[in-house]
Amino acid sequence: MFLPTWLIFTFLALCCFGIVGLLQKLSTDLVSAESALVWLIVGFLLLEPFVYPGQSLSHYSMRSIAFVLLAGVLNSLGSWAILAAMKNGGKASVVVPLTAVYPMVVCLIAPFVLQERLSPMQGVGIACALAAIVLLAC
Amino acid sequence: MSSIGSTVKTRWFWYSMLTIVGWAGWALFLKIGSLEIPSEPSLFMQSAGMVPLAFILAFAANVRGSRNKKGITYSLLNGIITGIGILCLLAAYRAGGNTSVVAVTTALYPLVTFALAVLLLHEKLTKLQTLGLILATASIVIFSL
Repeated sequence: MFLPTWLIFTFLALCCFGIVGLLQKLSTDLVSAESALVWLIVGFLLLEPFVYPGQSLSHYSMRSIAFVLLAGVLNSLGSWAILAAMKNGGKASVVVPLTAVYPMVVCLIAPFVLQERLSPMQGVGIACALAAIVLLAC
Repeated sequence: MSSIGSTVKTRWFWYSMLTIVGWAGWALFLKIGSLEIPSEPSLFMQSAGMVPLAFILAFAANVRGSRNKKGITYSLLNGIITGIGILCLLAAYRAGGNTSVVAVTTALYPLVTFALAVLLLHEKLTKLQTLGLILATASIVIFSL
């Protein structure tokens, strides 16, 4: 059976992101959420040479660089919070799908910040996400 | 419904809500930044943005006092596997994968975590929570279209 390269990479990415949820729970059973985050970032930084763009970053505008750096800060804040959720008794099988609905907030904010229109399909997605939050909290 | 009342009093629920807010901000700022900066330099720079919090926390008492080797190994693997996942995602796009198909497929990752948590951690979900998992997955798929 021939599998296209992109499909193999897609399934590898899917498995990696799925395994991460399990590791978050396993790590916070043994160390504090803060410690887990520090070592998570160390692990993440080990892969920096593979994404080093090999060119000067100075030709990008300061505004765009600031937004991307700020994105990194918020990513680490979110990562700390999910680790803290698991440390404080949250089940991996509940916390991971619960937090995965974060695009709902982006869809709600995007019309104001990015002047994007909310499509009817995204409206359905928001309704599903809100219902999911309530049901997962049961 | 009384269980919702008790859940909203738990810390893990509010930490989960904070995760949603943090990652929504991350996605939004990344989107604004990526209007100019391509994905790989952007990934490199956002990793740099994660360093300040790690640096501050490295000096916190509960980090210095939390040195279980197995826990640290899991955490390191957590970061490495996240990075590998992102590299695979970028490779899938570069190898000609349809953007929607790649995005929707990878968005199904909570199902993988759920399966692993049930198999390895013996976690159990109620019927309502299972319905919540299905709806969460449906919403993630819709958002990634």
